[in-house]
Amino acid sequence: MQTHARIDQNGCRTDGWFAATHWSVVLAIGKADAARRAEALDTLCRTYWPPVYAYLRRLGRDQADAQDLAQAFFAHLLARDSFAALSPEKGKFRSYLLKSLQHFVTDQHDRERSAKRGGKQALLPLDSDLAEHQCAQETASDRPPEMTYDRSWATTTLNRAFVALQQEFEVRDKALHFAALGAFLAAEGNAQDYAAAGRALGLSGEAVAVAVHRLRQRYRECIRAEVAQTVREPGDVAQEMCYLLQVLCQ
Amino acid sequence: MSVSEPAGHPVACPHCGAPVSAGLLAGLCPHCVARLALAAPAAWTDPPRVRYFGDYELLEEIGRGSMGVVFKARQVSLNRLVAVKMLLHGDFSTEESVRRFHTEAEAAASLQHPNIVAIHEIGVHEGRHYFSMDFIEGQTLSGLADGGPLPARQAARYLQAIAEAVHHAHQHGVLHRDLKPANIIIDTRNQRKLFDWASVTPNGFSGSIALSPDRTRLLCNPQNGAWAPTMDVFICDLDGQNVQVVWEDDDRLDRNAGTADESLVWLSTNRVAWCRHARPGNRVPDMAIVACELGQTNLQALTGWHGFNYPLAASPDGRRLLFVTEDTPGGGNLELWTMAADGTDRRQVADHKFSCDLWMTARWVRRLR
Repeated sequence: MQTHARIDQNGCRTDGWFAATHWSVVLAIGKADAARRAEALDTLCRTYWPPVYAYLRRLGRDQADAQDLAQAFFAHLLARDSFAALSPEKGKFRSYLLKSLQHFVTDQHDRERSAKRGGKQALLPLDSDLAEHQCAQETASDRPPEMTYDRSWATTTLNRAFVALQQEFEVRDKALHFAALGAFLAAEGNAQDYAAAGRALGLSGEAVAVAVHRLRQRYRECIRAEVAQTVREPGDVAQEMCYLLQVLCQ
Repeated sequence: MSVSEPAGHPVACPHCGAPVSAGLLAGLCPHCVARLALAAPAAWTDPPRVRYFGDYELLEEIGRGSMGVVFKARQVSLNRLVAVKMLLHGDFSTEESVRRFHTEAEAAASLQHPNIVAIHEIGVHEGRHYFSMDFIEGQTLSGLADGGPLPARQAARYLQAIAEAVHHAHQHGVLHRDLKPANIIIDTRNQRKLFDWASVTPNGFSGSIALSPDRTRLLCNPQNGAWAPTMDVFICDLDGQNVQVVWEDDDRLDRNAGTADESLVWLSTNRVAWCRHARPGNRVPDMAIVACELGQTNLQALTGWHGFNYPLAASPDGRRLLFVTEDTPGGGNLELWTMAADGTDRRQVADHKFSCDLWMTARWVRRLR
């Protein structure tokens, strides 16, 4: 399982990459060494494989085919050295990944399937059962595959930020706090709810209300940090967050 | 309410009916989470009020910075008004920010000076680090200056008090490092108070430290004078046990204002030049001198002498060293005198013709110390 880097109060990762996002490193052609570029792209692929899988399932591929094809796609993406084709204008990794996937799927019809799969060794730890649970409703809908992809992307982002936030509490030995307060990330809560949560934690209802407020702010920072890794410019983060809200609320 | 464990089967959200996937967001609804997390509802920008915080009743927020928030509060046990500062991020504060918060409080608590806001206590309440201090009813110097230019002598008196406070801090091994009008408050009795030691260095100081530049304005009423010198705290350098503060002036300073405050113009110009000399050995030795010079009109009244008096503090025999110039900038006659602290018993010790800027004179003075 991929380790989530600690995120500071400014929404920056504290694993030494605070000065550059994963996607900006990939785009820094000629400025970042090949190994670091490959590592960044590998990290991004490991994070955002669920939308790829969801897209393939929405296209009508069965579970086994979707998993095989996803593995082949990532092998193709990570193996090729065509970063020169990337222009700085390609601001979002989400868009780049989808376009690459669409081209790959189109080209797949011209190739022997068995010859293009990534061998017998799986490159990425794709948990297809988990992915199936995540996209079950999407694959049964009549939404376009691209919309399925974006919705899966959005939920993946929210989930990563959620797990990062949860890990922060666990590191500070406050897993119980998170278990009690985390539900308020999805619901407003009222005075009675806060009081009930406070009794389990030994806090007043007012203190819980303040803690929930700070929890939501921190969660937002975690989401911002996750989104920032997939865009090139800090100014694109807000726009991407708005888009994620838009696709999830449709 | 609690975060549910993954159930293994998709269910519908009880609030919006959207599908909830097992293993995703610990069973929370992505639609509801997105709506609360990614929109900008007013509830997220207006934190719920916490009226009572330990022994304090929080009355209103009076300040907020990048790391902390300050409240006007009533200390219940003593029934008095205080100011309470807390870390902005509460439970989510990093170890570094908590350490700096304590450093700020300890540094300020080590100082006792009428022009420094006093610290009362420091603690942790419900996971939130805080410290309490004097509550000062008044206005910051920046707010005061925003209302219009300050009279030059009033500004000089304000800065004199702050220079004395800073000198006190330096003598106790504490650097403020963030001197600016927003960190100086003028109370209702016109007393000057220095606060916000958030940038202070822990464990004393050593070596050269670049202060964050900001502007302390000496503004003159444009109808009385035509100048507005601006001084920046620029570099703080060490020279043995003395802390030298360099101020950077504004090139727009008009030295030939031709007003009654011309002497102060020249004073400020040359003090600035003295302070910012490239060689640390030629700079003003400490903030006490700056304080004295800013209050030189007071000393002038005390001594009854004309010209410019630059008394140096901490003379070994308790006497104060003066030097008096009689000419305008650029050259003249320098007389060096010593006198008792109360201005009596004056004795001349040297006579020197000079034809250069006053910072050259400073080297003369230093030799006599």
